[in-house]
Amino acid sequence: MKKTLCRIVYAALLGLVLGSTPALAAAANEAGKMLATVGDVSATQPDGVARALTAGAAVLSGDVIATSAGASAQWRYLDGTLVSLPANSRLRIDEYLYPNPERGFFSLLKGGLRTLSGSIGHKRREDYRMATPVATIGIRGTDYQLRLCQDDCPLGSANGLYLSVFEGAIEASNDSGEFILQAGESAFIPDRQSSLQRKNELPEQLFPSQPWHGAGGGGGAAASSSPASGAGTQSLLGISGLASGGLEFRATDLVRCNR
Amino acid sequence: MKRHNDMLQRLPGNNPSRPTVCRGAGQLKLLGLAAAVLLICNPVWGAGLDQLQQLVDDQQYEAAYELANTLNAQSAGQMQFDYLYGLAALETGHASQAVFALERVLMVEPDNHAARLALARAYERTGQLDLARALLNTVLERETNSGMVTLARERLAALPSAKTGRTRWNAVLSLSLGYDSNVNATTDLEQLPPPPATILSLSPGANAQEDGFARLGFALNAERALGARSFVFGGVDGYENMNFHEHDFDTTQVGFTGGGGFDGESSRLLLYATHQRLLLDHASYLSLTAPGAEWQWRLGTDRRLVLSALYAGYRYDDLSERDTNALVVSAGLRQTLSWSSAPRFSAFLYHGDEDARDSRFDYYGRRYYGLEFKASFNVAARHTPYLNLRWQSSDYNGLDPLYAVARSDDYWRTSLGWTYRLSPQADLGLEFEHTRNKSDIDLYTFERSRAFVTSRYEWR
Repeated sequence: MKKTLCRIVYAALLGLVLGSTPALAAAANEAGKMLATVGDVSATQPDGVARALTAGAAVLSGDVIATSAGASAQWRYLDGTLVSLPANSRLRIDEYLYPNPERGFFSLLKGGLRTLSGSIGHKRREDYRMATPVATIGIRGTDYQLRLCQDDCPLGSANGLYLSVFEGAIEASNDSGEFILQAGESAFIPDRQSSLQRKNELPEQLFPSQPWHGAGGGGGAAASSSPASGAGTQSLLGISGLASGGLEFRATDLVRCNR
Repeated sequence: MKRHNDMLQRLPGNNPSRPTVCRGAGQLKLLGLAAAVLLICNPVWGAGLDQLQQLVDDQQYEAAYELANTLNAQSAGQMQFDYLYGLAALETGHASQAVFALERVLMVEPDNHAARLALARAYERTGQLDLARALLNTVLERETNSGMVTLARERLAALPSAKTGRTRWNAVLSLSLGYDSNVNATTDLEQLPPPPATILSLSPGANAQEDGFARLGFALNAERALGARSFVFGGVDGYENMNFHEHDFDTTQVGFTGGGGFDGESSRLLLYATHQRLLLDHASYLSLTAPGAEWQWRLGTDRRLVLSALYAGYRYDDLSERDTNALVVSAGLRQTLSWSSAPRFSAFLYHGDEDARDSRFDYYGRRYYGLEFKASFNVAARHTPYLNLRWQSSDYNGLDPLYAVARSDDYWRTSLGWTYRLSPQADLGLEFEHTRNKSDIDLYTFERSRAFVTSRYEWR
């Protein structure tokens, strides 16, 4: 019975698909799907038509995706690339084609982003490009983060592009040359004419705080606490405590003997 | 339930204000409807989430990650899927995937602290230690479940060292008040069976004395990173234990510990030195100086194997014949179970070999081995009962000069307590402790019971 019902449904679906040409046209333009949003997230097409984006919405080639203060968005492109856009950021999808041919050209216009690459760019690195006013980024199987400072970063942060790579590697290129940044590395590029400056770490406050980060930040406990510690003292870094416990045990034993 | 419903409303498939593309919107809605029918007709997709949940529950993370990847195209963005996918990715070494999936969970449900703890681990794996620390501190500030808080504390402590050039501090202050049945830990017999050719009776006050006591404890610790995987640490801790009447047995202990640590992929090596001093009635009595090493090896997410060794010199200020040197080695396991009550266990087996510095007094030396077991559970938000057990067997070297026998002791200590968390920084605790030492020489046999309440505050 269920099998018959499903056959009918499949047949109906075929008719539906054949009659949905305008929708297919839109789908042909589709680059991905919004997975989650917080706050006001919008997309604007080149013709100026804007729409609000929430989870489940289609992300289209040509969109300029923007987040307002306190907002953030995460979406996935058809090739599996993930993008997380923090507050006060704007990213343009210059051209997105998948699967045949494969091409992902993007521009970070403002703010920052974190992205984990998908299929595009794996076979041919030139199929992927993330442009910024300071440098253009290519990927080599990557999870990386960018922050573009244009007088909108915390006081004391120089204008330019800040980069961190968490997985794989990226290639940053501008008028001064090409630079490879590997996983675990961070760097700063002041402008299009300057070369890349490697950094041990980037200032934490550079990256817009995400709603889930909380206000805590920095300064965690250096020692673990023991709920069983009657004295309230602790063993440093979880040192098993046989050393510190041994003295008290011995003392009580010996106090008796010598009094 | 309401919050769950609210959360469901925000998921892609349940959002009543789900946006559509501008062109062909009506047709796309029809396509969406058709896709829903397809889902119903294809039981594989419906069953997939249950199967994924089961695989994660069974800790079959490789299989879970593989399945999650096949479901990813249609299920990403659904909170339950994202959480399971995040856990599976985290446990199989795909930390970047875990970061994105778990961030989605928190975008939909910002108070999901289980996801926050997992995301902190994912950040840690991708080297974003500040973010990991911020998330763990947020759990400490906002979570009321003691199990989560304890996990967050443990992970903060286990977090690899801060970024180069930064120093982390913490300080603890505690006050205990209680009753002690035997402040000098001695026999309750006033007269003892005589050793050969000797009549032994204890002087008044030398046998068991009961009293009330107050104890003030403190600790101050710091850690500073030298590089991505190395750090130095140091700290001072101690206590002042004041009896209400028996001031002869007031004790004070102060200890200094400092050393360095190295973090590997799944292990941590600590090399340190410690110096501790015990004062009796505010007069210096005994000190311990020891270099030590400890190796911690992570076995999975919440299990840790710990091996340690310590070479200790015990020195008595006025009784140098009792001075000894001891080598203590131990092996143990720390385990946290992923149940809602987050039960935690640790068991350590240790062995000590201690020799008198002066061979004329070799009977002060001993060989001993023991077992220490600790367990704690979170029975309700803020409530953590715990049980600590310690057993030790000691065989002394040589014959006791008074009794002409080789001393042999069996020592037991049992502690049962309950901690109530007042705030992320403050605890209130109640503990009962019983100690029993059974020796073949009656002079050394004693029992001791203590009951006390403790308030504790920690600054980070």
